[in-house]
Amino acid sequence: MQPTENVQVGVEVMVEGEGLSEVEIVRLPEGSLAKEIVVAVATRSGFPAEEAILFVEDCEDPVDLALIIEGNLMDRVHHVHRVRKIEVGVFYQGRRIQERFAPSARVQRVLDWAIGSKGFKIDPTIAPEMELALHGQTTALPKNAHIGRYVRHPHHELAFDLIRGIVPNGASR
Amino acid sequence: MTGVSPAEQAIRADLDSARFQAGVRRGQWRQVSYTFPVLIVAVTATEPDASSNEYCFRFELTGFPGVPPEARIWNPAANAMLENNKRPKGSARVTGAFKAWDKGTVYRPWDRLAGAHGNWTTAYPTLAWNPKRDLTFALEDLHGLLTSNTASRFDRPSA
Repeated sequence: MQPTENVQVGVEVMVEGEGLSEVEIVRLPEGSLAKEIVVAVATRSGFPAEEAILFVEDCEDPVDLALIIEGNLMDRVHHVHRVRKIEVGVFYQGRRIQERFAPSARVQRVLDWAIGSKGFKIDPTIAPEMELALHGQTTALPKNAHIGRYVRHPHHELAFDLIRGIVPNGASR
Repeated sequence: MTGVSPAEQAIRADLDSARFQAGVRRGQWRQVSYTFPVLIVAVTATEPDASSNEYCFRFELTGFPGVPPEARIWNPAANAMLENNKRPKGSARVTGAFKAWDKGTVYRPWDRLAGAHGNWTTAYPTLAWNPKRDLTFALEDLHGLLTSNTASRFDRPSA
């Protein structure tokens, strides 16, 4: 990332975020504050850093930007976004369910909810074959992707379809 | 980079990438060994009884990424393919992906030999290999399959 080039010694933080299509590595000087992760992503994605929030992957509550990046904070994948909660809708067999997730939620976490007892209660024998695709599409999304990568502020809604994955005998069911 | 082939450069770039390293930090896979053109990676799994396990995969990467990886489920101690009775269990999707078939590789469209048979490359472009893919693409697919048993164990409403 441009603002963090030429950092010789420091910390490496993995981050996803609004405007980023993939997880990236941010390199910052030792002792940097969490706020610097936000600044790096905001600069890259072209939005004001003061509007953005920092999350840890799959955690719903924002991170205190005054924290020094060390220990557990350094080991986790982060997410920077201007939306605090995303209204997620999932469609399956003519029904729609909805729930709110932080943008740092992985597709896997939304999938777990959608097939589980609070979602569509998918039969356990076929549940392992289920995937999520963007609504109206048929390509299964990567399960590690943070849902925030699919939403750009001021939008705060996201729709998925629950689909059957490809089975290995070459036929799609 | 004198003496280092384009394939070796591409593999090194993949292993150093944020995508690969994020999987390592998440505990989803770990590099076991690498001597070009063979990379061995252990991928975390969830067994049908919900216990954790890991399975090793041997990637033969000659010509990577222009040539798809040739991936076999592996027993590093024996330096041979994993015995059939020790392969992953679970849904038909899981057992099918890791079954013993005549070419011996992982039965997924991105694999060099599996993808070349039948019409998988054209039928399933989203899972087929192309030179823009990276190692993490294959590892995410393997990890997704190997942990899919989790999905059959979520709390269910009373029957």
